[in-house]
Amino acid sequence: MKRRDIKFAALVAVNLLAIAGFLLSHIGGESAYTGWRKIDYPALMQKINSGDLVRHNAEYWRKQQ
Amino acid sequence: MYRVLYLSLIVYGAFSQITQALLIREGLVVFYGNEISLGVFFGSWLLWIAVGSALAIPLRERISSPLPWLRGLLLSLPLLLGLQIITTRIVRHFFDISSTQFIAFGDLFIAVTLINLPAALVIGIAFPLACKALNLELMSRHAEPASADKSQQAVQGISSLYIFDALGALLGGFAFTFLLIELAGVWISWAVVMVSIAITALLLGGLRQHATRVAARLLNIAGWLYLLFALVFLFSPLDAKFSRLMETVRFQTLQPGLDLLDTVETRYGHVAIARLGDQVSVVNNGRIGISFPNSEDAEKLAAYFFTQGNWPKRILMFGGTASDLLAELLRYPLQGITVVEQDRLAFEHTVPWLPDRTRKALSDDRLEIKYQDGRHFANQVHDENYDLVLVLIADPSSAQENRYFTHEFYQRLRELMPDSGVICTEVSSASNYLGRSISSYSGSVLATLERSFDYVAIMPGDTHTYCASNQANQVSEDARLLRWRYQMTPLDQRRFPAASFHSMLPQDRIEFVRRQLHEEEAEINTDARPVTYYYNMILWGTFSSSQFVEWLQKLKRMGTAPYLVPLLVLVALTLLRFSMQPLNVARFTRQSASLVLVVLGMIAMAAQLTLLYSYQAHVGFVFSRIALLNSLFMAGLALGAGFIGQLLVRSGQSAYALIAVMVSTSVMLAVLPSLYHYMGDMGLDVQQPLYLSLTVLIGLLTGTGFPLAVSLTEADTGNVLHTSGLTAAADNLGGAFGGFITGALLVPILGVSMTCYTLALMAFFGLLPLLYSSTPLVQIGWLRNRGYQAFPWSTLSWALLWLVLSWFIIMLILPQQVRQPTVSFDQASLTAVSQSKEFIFREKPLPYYLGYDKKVDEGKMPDTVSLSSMAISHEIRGYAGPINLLLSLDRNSVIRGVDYIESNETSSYINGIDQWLDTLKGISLADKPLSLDDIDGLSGATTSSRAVIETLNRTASEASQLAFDQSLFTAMPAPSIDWLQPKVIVLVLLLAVFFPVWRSGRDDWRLYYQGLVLVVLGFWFNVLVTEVDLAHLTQGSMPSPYASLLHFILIGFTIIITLLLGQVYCGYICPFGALQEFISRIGRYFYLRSEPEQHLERRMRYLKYLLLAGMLSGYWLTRDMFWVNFNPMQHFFAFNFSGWILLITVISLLGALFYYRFWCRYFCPFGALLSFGNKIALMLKWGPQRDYTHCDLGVRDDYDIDCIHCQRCIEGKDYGLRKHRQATIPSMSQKNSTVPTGAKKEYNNQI
Repeated sequence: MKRRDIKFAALVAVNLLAIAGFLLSHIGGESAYTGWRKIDYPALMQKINSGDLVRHNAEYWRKQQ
Repeated sequence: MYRVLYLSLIVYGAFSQITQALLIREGLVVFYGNEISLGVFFGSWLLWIAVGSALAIPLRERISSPLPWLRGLLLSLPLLLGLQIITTRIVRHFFDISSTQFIAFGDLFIAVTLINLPAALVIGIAFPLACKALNLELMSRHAEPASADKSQQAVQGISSLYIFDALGALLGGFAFTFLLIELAGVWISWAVVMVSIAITALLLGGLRQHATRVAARLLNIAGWLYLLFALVFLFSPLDAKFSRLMETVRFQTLQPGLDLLDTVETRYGHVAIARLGDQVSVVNNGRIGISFPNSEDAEKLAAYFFTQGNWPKRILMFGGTASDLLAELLRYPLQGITVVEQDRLAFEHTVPWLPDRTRKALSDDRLEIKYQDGRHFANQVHDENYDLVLVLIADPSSAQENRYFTHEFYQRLRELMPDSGVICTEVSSASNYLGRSISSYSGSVLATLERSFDYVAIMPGDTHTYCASNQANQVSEDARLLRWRYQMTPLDQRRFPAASFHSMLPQDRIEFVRRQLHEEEAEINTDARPVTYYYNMILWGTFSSSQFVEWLQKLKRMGTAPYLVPLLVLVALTLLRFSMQPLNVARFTRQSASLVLVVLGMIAMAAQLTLLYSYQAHVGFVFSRIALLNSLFMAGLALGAGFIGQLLVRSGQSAYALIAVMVSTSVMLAVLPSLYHYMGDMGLDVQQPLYLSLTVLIGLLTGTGFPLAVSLTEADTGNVLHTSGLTAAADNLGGAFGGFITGALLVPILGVSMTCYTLALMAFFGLLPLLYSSTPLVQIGWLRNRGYQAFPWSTLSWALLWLVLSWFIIMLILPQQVRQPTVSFDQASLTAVSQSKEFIFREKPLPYYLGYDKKVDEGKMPDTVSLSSMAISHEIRGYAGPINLLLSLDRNSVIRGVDYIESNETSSYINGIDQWLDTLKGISLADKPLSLDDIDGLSGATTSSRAVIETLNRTASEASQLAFDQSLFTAMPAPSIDWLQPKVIVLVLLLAVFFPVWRSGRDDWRLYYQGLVLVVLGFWFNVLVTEVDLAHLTQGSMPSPYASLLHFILIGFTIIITLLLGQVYCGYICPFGALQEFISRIGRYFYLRSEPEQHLERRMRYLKYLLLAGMLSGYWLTRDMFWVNFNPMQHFFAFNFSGWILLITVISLLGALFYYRFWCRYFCPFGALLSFGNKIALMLKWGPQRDYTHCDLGVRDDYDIDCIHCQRCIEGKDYGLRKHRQATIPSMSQKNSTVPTGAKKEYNNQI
């Protein structure tokens, strides 16, 4: 391969890698319709630690009673 | 002597059949008897045979003497078989699967596929080698035949070997079924096979073809060693010791910790008796079926069943003989119990281990044991009146067991009982948590019972026990009533405490269970549609954390589409491709015949599997008859191929005959379900012969097609090995596919009947190309001028197109799961948006929060109301669907805050939305709604701004009414289209000017026009057609003319001109393309532009099509917009430069300096899609005449797919490289070309 072709191929490859990087940086996040949801652990722990979760359920139970 | 070759094929065929039978039986044991393993087995077996046959094709030149290879392969088989059996027995150990745990589907698939590999691959390679060996042998014995005779000889040779192979399979099947496995067992059978193979290998050494003396000698030694070993194995105690060792090894992987006491292989499967402490268990196909003694459970069940039966006099029991229940029931005042025990051999092996009490009960005068299949017994019995029927067969985890839970069976049992009769059955469940999988599974049994009986009582627990009757007040869930009945029963001794009825039947739990089971609309389980068996698979998958379950459920929702759509698309594209290529009817006929062969192979295997499933459902012992059924199928294949097929080949009308075969196959498949249904009600003595005849018929019909396809294929290739390899590979590949999808998917999901109808349609679709090639229509060449191939990978391109189109159509059919929007929020989010401190949540009529700035006081009016806009305004669409906003309004109708939650808008359109929403705080809605006349829209996103405004207005209006009982502004403005707004006029004028500019073909006009486009469409409007639009269009979304009129116009215009003129959008109207055009011109001006070597450059241009396919597939799979957001043109004009997008943009624009339109030509997926318009271009003739001698982009034809219609070729001003470019070829449609005729060759030399 000539030098100009190597440069050309390299530029194309770099751009492809950039596209791949963009896609990979988004994969694994919370996505619609996939059924795979990331759990927001900080929010969940905050709810548990503050007693909000328990309190809400307890109120519901009392109301049912 | 050459007839020894035929003998070797017989031995190969027999070995193949015996191996299949042995491995299937082993698989059924370790995989708990589930028939999915059948489909996976046949699929993978045929796949490897196909791979082997295909591998033999490239070997054709290298192997001059195939005979030593044939001998060597033959001798390897017994060793491989032994290893395969042992590997199957310990496979659970390899996958680290503990006892009672289900193997995950993926692991099962991998395990079976890998286990089958060695022997199947060898057998696959052997067939084409045997064909070549036979051909060489015949040629060496006769004078050199003429070419035509050579061809005829080759075809006949292949067909005759095929027949002998099938004959061997038939002999092997009979020998295995009636002799070997009945009398000898697994390892003796293996030794007998070894003897046959050794003898055959030694006999083959007598033929003239052999390579070196050393090789021949080694093979002879190996043959003698095998023979010696096999004889020693057969006639010494080695067999017994080895068998016991292998049994123990297998059992330890199935039920470790239990002491193995006894094993037996019956017609229904493998049965083992084992002990743990004082308890003995009967293990059926690896799973514990029953354990004893278990007196407590027996006492409870006996009391429950007896009281549900309301003092029954005569009881009919299916299964449960070995349990303590029988002995316990005989303590009750009964006239008689009839027990139907289907597996006599297993029962006889169990009896010595039964507790004394149970053994004594067996000699009770009131007891009658019938050793018969339960379904047959029910079909045969007449004039009997049983008061209570107990169906205590194991769970419906296989097709064999599922037949005791079907509507047909329950209907039959009804006829054996008076109206007051009761039937009871059990199915596994969970005592506390009823997930969807378990609910569907158990619910389907309940639904099936409720279809046949008017009243069904439930006893919940780890096992759900159902009792049903047609008479009111017979079955009951009332613990007091059952307790009373129990206490009124005259018994010598009440071992079961009556008070326990209350704990067995807690009312709230019964109601809960009933509600849960009815929540999902469970389907009725029938013989033709074994849905409970399907739900068991789902349960299996859930328990083994298999991701296959999600796919299984999606496939169920899609019905027959996933199987029919790809084939239909394949047929359509095959016809389209043929229409576009230079006319070659012979080649097209061969390709069509190959397709027919694949489809026929698939259908043959699939039909055989439906027969096996039906046999299992009606007769029940596929385990013992699998070899016979398969060998008869092979016999049918042989008859069809050997006699009928040969006759038809000699008639010289192979194509028409093949068409007739496919039509007959289609008709047969359509009729099969009715036949199965009809046979289901017959007695065993009629059913069995009918099933065996039917399997021969299926083989006969499908086998007839093989020699016909061979003759059509051979006409074009002319090479024996090539033909035999090709046709065997095609046939087996189809069979592999048929095995996989039928066994694992079609039958469990669709049921036997729908599977047959689907296969009938597939037979018809597969026939269409061959039908087309046989008609005068094939000569019509109306698309041939569009057939120019711009890229070298024609087959890959069509395959990619097939994949994407099939996927697209299936995606359209798949019911979309609606994502639940976020409508509930935590305290922090609510406080941030409303500034209130405490909140009350209300659910009706929609979810909203009442906020109090200080403390909650339900007596006072709240200070704020906060809610999600999706709760109200879900029908208002931004460009890409509803926008979810959290709005907070106070009681003075002032906006306290608005938060953006989620949407599907293009990221550039909602860039900066948070800051923009902040500007809405404090605005009062008391008098009038929000409007873009009063507030600034979101920069560059007029569409989204309007959607947000409309969303907020609607949401605020509803919220105010709900929380404060106040109406806001009096009237919502009615939507209207303002055609006369300035931007619309500018756009329309701009698009109108396109036509004269394009028609002129002038480079300078085009540049001025592109400048306008860049400024107006790009920087000013920020309106482009991009991949986001494409993604939305595939979902059926178009921008609304009310909300986004500019976009609406531009998209419509693009679609129309692409269809009429080709890919002109890229060359004229795309703002990002225009930007690159100018940068490229600047690059050329400064002598930066480079031209890569054409060979490489052409291949790089293909990348954009791969990106398009990948992008669309990713989006359709996940519905996530990020898959389509990587194009820099979506972000550039909104000045959204961050992260990876910045990098891509910089590289693309930098690249444009050196390479003309770098992004467009190599990466743009949207451009790739529009390029298909170049193949349509209905009004191309209106355009200026292009001149490809000046094209530096590789375009050589009017209908070249990769022409972006930049029209630079017309004036040729943008070139500095003319001296490098000499080669051109004339366009196929140019009539007045002046290009030198030698140019084409020179061009092609450069590729």
